[in-house]
Amino acid sequence: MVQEWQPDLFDSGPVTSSDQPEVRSPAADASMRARWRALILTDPVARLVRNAAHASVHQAYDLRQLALAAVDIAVASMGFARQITLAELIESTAELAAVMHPGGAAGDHQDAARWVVKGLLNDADNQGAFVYSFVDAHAFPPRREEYAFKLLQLQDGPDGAVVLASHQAVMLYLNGLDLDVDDAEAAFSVVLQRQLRDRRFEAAARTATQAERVSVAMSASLADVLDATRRDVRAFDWITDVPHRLARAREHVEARIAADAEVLNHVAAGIDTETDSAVRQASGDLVETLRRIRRVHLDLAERVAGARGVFLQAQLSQVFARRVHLRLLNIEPELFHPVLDAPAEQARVVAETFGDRVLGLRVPRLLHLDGLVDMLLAPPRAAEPADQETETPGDVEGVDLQAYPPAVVAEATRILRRAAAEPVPLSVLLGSATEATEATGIAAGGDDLRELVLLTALWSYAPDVGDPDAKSDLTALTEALSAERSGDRLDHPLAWGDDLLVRYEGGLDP
Amino acid sequence: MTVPIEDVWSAAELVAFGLRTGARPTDGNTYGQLLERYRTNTAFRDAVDTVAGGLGLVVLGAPARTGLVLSTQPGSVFALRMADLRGGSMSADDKLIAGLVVLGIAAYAFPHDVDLDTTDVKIVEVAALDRFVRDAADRVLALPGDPDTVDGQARRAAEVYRRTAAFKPKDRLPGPARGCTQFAVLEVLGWLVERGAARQVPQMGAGSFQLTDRFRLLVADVAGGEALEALRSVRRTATAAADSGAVKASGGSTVEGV
Repeated sequence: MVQEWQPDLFDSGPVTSSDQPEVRSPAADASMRARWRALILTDPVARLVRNAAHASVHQAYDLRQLALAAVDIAVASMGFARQITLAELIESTAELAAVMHPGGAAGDHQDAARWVVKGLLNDADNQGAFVYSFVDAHAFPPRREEYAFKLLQLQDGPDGAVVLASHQAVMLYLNGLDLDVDDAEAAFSVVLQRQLRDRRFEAAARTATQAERVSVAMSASLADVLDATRRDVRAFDWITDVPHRLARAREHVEARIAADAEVLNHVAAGIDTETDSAVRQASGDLVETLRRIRRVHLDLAERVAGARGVFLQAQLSQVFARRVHLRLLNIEPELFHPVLDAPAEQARVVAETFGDRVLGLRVPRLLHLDGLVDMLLAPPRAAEPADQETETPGDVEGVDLQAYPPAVVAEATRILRRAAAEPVPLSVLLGSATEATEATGIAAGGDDLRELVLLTALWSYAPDVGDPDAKSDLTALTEALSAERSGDRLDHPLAWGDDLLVRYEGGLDP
Repeated sequence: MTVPIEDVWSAAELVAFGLRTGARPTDGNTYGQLLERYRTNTAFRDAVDTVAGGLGLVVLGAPARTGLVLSTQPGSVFALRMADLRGGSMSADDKLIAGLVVLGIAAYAFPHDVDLDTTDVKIVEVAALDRFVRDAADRVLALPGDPDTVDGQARRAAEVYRRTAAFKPKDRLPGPARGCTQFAVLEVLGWLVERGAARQVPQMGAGSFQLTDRFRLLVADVAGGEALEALRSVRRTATAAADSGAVKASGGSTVEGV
């Protein structure tokens, strides 16, 4: 952890040493560290955009804008009763992502939102702080300072992890400029007055909204102080530091409420006398915004008023409290590594002791209605589908339904054997088949015989090497046949094309 | 000091809420009201602590958002050993890996000692955590062991973890199958969810879990200390055994811990 000076909304500015060796530009040097920090705060966003190319995040998303939106959403919910959860933040960011890339799948939007939020949480570095080192060139010898900050942090909440934005994220949110809160206020009111005189009501409303953000930031910062105080009174300096902050917050609210009331009167009076409907509309919107801002200011005032009470209450309840023992255990080097290094038997004893203590509380399971509903609504355990045996066609219980009758096969074999002595054209063989059909009168088998002779010849010309294991009566026959093109034409009711010379190469006897 | 009988009832009710890991205190509900009473009223706090003690439980803390965090005393009816979680069917290596995973989650979540005192919570992702444990195992194994001692010859815990496959696919469903370390991580995280020490965050992707404040208290206030104590005691036993083994010149077997 770095215990260096951390920038804070309530701090007035960086501390610089007065005995600098050489002054090039006093104004630039004085603000160097603050500007360096402002620059560094945007680096995590730049990094997540850079690395997105390596992750599967679609290019259509404007990740910088998504990051700003995620911080906006987190800041907007801070310090008030209802804080945003991580799940809600992802969903809201994904909705914006969906607008950016309408053609994308819902999963892509989620991926982009998740990538952005993970980047802001510094997921790549186990969700720790971002650490950068600054070289103080004015110190002699030059000194390196580590600057650590977080942008988003997670806290346990009733409905899941709650997302908080750090002071630094709030600063980034306020345009990442090194804003002095007081100066910003003054600037806002000057700008606001000028805009009202120029009758630029829309711009005035925007300026007023920016002033609102300062209040939100103060409110969030104060909520942090109070939370920490409730946990441990010693967390903040309540003698000088916190009263000072409270006084400034009080002044801020007082000044803002007075200024806003003035603007409100001015605008409200304008609405009554104004004839231009557009101006009346803009004025009405401005009144609406100012009223909302006043509620934010009043909320901050309430918080400031109750702060002292929280401190006293915490002091009262903690003064006799059991002294919190310091948790000085550094798990990784003191426990995790030694256990990994120990022999398996010893390691098991230690690891089991640890696991038993973390996990070892068993509560008998009772059926609660809510639990039961969850169980009933849970998707059923999918039974793995049984393997479907693919059927091989023609393999039905030994009987080949498409087989030719034995008589046809015998006749075809007889005809094809004529090619044993010398090659016979296919047209001649088909002619013999026709004759044989007429002579023997195989009932209804004429077409079958011609077809079988033709197909066998074609097979021997261009065998279909699909199933080398299949053995049948015909296999021996076709293996003995060979065929080649004769160059003549074949013209037959069953076939038309190049004629084939068929040769029977097997022995004369089957 | 006498405690009104109604307060005893309320105290027992609060303990019952603490046992129900799904229950969440809010400002309005009974749990929230009882918890607020526990946090502000010393007499009631004593009553609750006493009722819990009688049941064999210890109250570790009562954060407003988390509720009553309970742990067991030895021999309590509520006590359960990690090894019994999978129906008592875990092999020695399974137990070791599961224990290393719990330790790994704690080491991942609390990299510095001050983290045990902050309420920030972290997201744990199955594959990332497996990588974290593996990296630590690699680092440990890179250090040379002492080959002369009994310890140096025995199989080291890191080796057992590293030798087990990181991921085995299931036949048809997504996710790791039994027998790989990612399955062990997923299983342990499931146990933590049942215990109320973690919660699933499907929005951050499959296999993502959020650790709760309860996990921090359990690690910081009970588990860490007891595991350190166990580590010291097995080391003492091992050293004593090595010494006597050297005297009798009959070393060679590792020593069962306490």
